[in-house]
Amino acid sequence: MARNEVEVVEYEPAYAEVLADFVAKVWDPQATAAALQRSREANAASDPSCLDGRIPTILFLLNGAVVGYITTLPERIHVGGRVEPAYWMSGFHVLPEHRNGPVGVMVARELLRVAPSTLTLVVEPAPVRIFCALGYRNLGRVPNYLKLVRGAEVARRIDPDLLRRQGLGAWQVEALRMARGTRLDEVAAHLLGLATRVWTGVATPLGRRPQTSVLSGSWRAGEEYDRLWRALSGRTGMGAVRDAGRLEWRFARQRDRYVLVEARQGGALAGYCVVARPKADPDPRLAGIRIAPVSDLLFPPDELGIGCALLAAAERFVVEQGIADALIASTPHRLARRALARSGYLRIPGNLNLVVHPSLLGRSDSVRLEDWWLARGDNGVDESF
Amino acid sequence: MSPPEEVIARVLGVSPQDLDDDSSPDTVEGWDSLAHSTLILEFETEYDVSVAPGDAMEMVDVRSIKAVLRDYGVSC
Repeated sequence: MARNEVEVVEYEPAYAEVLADFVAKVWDPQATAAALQRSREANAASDPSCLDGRIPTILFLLNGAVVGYITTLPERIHVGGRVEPAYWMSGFHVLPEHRNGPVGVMVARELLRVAPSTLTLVVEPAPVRIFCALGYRNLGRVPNYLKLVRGAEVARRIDPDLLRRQGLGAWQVEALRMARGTRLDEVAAHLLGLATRVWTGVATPLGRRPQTSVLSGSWRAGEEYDRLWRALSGRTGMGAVRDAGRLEWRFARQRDRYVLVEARQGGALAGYCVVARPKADPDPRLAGIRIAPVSDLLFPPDELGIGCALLAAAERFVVEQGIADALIASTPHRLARRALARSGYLRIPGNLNLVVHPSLLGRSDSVRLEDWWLARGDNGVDESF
Repeated sequence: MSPPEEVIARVLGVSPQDLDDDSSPDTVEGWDSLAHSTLILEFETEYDVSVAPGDAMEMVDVRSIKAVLRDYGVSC
């Protein structure tokens, strides 16, 4: 029997056709080699985090066809007082008929060889185990926070089994099942909404409230966003460089999807958050529940009032526009979590593991998950909503 | 350096005596895709070799694992 021809390669344009075949099989039946290559070139040219024009992408070729794949999203990571060029790992996929072998680890290992400064936010346990076997560190699960703005609607639609898979306790899932049909779940949701509004009123820090405004449609992130980042970069721990260039690249280009909320004090920009409108074709497991991710959030960590004002403005927009039933945020940073809690967000089980290669952490062995300033838009994880 | 059977047994958490040349992911409980991937990484560490992807795809049971490792100069 002839031996299979196997190669593990870094993508270059010569592989555009076979990659397009793979993408068409897995994600987008309309994918073409020309569109794929154009997209890669455009991204490499305009992404401010793509410092060397590279978007490392690894293909596992079996007899000339792609059966395993991983790509990256360039990101400048602020770590230990310096800025490091890094890459979020993304799109890790092995065709089902080849998952019983070494394809996944070979793809991940080759990526590590060509781009050591990688990290990822990932749910599935198999990739986590592969990355850890290659020396990555799993810093833990990023807490999720949920704010119900139409609680009765969520209670009516949510799938109890989805809650159980997300780690909610068995008794809580059964309580929801029992409440269904009696409308007790809707009553409880109304009471919960009232309680969170009361709590938010009590817990929001006193003091001079910043002015907030919501920019939807056309918006730009100018020089004042760079000034804000320079002022805050030493105070937010580790995470993406959240300057004007990143805001423009990551969010402003998709103005139909992302809404910007600004907070100002004395006219000066004091913080911002970005909220995503729920997708038109969300995950069917959500049963029609519309969840708006808080895709980015930046405020002075020691000024919770600004964080709370941003979250409140985001919620008012979502409610007034009727665009979502709930908001979701994900962050491990202690002070960002405090702002969420004080804004009436409920902590729910986290499912995103932050997996980081030690080369990105430098000499710091004591790096903890809560040292990271992350948001739902990092690594594109807001795409699930 | 440990013989391949001992490396395999260590990774899978079984006794070397439970393995023979026909042992494979189809016959040994716990020998799943992640364990198989871990095995390849362990072989590379144990024997200071770098297993080419094509050779890794050929390693489907203990017999073929030993055959590939012999190609890399490992006596087994």
